[in-house]
Amino acid sequence: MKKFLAVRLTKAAITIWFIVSLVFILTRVSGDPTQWMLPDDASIETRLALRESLGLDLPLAEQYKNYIVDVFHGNMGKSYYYLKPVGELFSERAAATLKLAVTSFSLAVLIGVPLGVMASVYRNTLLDRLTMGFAVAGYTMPNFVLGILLIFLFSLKLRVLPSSGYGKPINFVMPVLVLMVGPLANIARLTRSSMLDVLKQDYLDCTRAKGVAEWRVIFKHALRNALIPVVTIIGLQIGTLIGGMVVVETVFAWPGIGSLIISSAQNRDFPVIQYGIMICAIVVCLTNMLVDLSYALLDPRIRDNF
Amino acid sequence: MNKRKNYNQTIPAFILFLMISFLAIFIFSLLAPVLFPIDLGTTNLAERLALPAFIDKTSGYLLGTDHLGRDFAIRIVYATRNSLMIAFSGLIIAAFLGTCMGMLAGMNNGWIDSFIMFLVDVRLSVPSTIIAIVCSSIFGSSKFTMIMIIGCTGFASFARLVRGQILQLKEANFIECSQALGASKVRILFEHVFINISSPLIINATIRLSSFILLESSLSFLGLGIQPPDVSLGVMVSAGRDYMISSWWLTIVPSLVIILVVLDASLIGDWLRDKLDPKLQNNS
Repeated sequence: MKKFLAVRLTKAAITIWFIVSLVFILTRVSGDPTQWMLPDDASIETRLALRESLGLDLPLAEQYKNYIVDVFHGNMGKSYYYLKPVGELFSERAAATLKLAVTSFSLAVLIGVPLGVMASVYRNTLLDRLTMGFAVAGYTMPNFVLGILLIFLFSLKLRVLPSSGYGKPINFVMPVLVLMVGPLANIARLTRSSMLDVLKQDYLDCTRAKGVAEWRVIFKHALRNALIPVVTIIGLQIGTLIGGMVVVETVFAWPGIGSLIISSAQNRDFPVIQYGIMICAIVVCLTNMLVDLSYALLDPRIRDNF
Repeated sequence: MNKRKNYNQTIPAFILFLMISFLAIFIFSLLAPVLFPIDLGTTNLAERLALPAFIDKTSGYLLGTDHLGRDFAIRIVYATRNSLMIAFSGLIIAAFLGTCMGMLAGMNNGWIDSFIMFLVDVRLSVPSTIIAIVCSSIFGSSKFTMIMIIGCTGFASFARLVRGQILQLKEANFIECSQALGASKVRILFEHVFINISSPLIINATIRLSSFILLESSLSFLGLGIQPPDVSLGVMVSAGRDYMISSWWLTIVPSLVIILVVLDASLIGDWLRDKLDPKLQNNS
């Protein structure tokens, strides 16, 4: 177990280091950021002074060394645009993003898994067809298009939901809905097909013959065995969720990290982008690790191999 | 349950309809410069926000005009053309890159394999939307960067698929047989391996296509993809948002086109996968 964790953590650390270095190199070779920070008519002296204050006048290798040392000290630099430490900038906005992400993700799991189970139990009935129809529509629907259609319908035509804003519970309805549709559809689809594999197996008949109630057969004996692929896909949805976050926050003017990343990308605010991509990579790597650990929790055979 | 199905069934009418409609949209939009030879930058402010023909019968414009007085229907055709061409070109690059990497990884054990799989893991540890946003902010946004972004983010699934297939095929008797007969690695690769992995490759390409169209339109919607005066479906949705109260069709029509194209491509992909992948057949 300890060995497994150590190997995974080292792998994750190497991946994150690689990404951080790659983004560092790409941002440095793509041109001089002071070009976009200063007005066109700024004098050469001003430009050189700014370059020096940002440490951009040093050789690339030295810049890289300083950057990595700073990263280990938790100092991710200052935003070129907001002139604030990026860590501060992110923590100010983290609450808004986390609330949105946690709400939509838990709803996606809490609705998606039971929906998939129902669809598999009532296979080829109207319920199954409806669920799967919804799932296809859900995972092909681009989230910004869905967001715009919802704003058009509920904010402009019916005037029941606000098109933007943050703070009140009613502000959450549309962003959460848009964000959860994709993961929900994927989770429901995979739960269904994974359950169908399990439901065919003989041991379930044996359980039924013992006199176990049908709901217990399905939720305890079948679902638990079907969960491994489901947990995998749930883990993969974190990536989808992060990508969706950026778009949804822009559509609904949500004051979170996603909209910060977009505006920084438009302003070429590289320290913010570097921090953002590092956070994404850490979240995804940690999730993958948790998913692998949860296999052990779900399946005693895997647990013994640790 | 395990009865062998007939693989030479005819294509269902619905899928045939989808395929024909997708092909029609593709060819029609590809011919846009021939059918509607206009300059996308030319504006006509006197005719701005004209009503579409389905609201005002006397209007000379099928879908009205946008906020700069340009014919909206023609712009939709050009936008579809750009979106599809970027997605297709990106797909070709992604498939080529991924297949080569997957072959290299599958045919060589040891560090080459580990390194390529490491690259795939690195790529998959950051969501493609985020990579695309970062790259377009670093390299600026143009059609070329969009294509390269799609190509460089999309390779991972192809590399994994090809590597997995090759690892399976390596154990197959017919490969061992031709090895014993003295065929070179390259010959085995192209004569036997490539033909055997082509059908999963085509399925993956079809499924990926819809996600690439999505990636392109999301990025353009965010203002990080195609730049005005050039058009793409995402740019049009985003530009129309300011006029949603007075001229709703400026956002809704391009949104519907995106849904239509993406749904079309992914339904065809799903059907192909279900049809060609016998493992999944029992579950549908």
